[in-house]
Amino acid sequence: MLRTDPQAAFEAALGEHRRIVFKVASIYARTPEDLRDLAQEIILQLWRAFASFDARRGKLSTWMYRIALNVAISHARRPSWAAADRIDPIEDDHPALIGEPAAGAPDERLRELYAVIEQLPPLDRALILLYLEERSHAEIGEVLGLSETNVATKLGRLKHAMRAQIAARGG
Amino acid sequence: MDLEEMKQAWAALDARVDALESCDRLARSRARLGWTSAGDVVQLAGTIALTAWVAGFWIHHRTDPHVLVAGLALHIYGIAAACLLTARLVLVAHAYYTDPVLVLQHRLAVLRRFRIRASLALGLPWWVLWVPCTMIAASALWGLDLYAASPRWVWGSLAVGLVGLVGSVWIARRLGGRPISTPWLARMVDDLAGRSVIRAGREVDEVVAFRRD
Repeated sequence: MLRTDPQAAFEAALGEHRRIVFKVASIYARTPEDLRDLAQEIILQLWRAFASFDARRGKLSTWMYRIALNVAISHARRPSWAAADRIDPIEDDHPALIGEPAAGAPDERLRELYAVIEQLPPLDRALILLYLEERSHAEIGEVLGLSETNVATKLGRLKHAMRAQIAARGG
Repeated sequence: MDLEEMKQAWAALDARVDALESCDRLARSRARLGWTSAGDVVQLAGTIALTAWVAGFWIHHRTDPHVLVAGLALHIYGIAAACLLTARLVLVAHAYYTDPVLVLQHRLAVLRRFRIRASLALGLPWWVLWVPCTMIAASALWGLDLYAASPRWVWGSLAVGLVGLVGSVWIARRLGGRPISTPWLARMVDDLAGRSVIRAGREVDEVVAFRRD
């Protein structure tokens, strides 16, 4: 436990790592409303599990990535009848965190990045998110439950596939 | 755009995230705290209590063959239901969001497949089971032997139940793939048509393949 008051400790931890929650939610959510719901669900599960977090056994960020990704992947796997918005086709430029971009602005690249990520299966999305977050192979392995070697191999393949996809999109 | 540019674009997302509303507010806005498996526990307790009562009932009526058969049918169903519900609770109890992603996603996919199969195994027999259930209720509440009063009603109801059971599966398979806007109906059709089990099975395979490759 980080502090004596669990709620204060949780709020402090969340304040420090809030980007994890929203970035994970952003690659699995399909609409801004979905993003909000998913972020809430992640925060709820983080709070529920917070009492079990032991700083001596690992980093807070690793623990948060695990929970956030587990919640988000489970959310993404829900069949269409479990979430009304799932009936709609995937929006081309979903990125819920992106506003209306000016031409050539970073938003345009983000939009393109999301479009590539959106084509990936849920587990590959988790891997590429951790890569984009510049996590070490060891930490990625810890979050996903893979060996470092396996992470390196999979990342190599995934990056190759993404390069090909970007090229195919004319990037 | 190359992968380095992707990383830069991703890093630019931080500013967007920081501009979003406070996490504290989001966390407090959701008061849906509680034990998600509470429903399963209540169902299990009810099943065990009912099975125990049915056991006492058929033992007491063991000299009436048709009441005995009706009681035994419900008793066997009750034991099977209690076993399935217990297995489901055990699977749920071993699923933690704090587990590594592949470990939990595999458990959840197995659990999902098990849940669907268990729901079908527990739900479909009720097309027929309502008959012995009614027989026992009539006997327990009013001392009425429905089979003695009208064996044709009992056999006819069982036949209708069997037709309903086969028919519901057939209709679900016919409807499979068509968009259904009512969530509970869509779920039922998916389960009956076997599409939910196939989907859950694919998820299990996907996690296994991701871990192995």
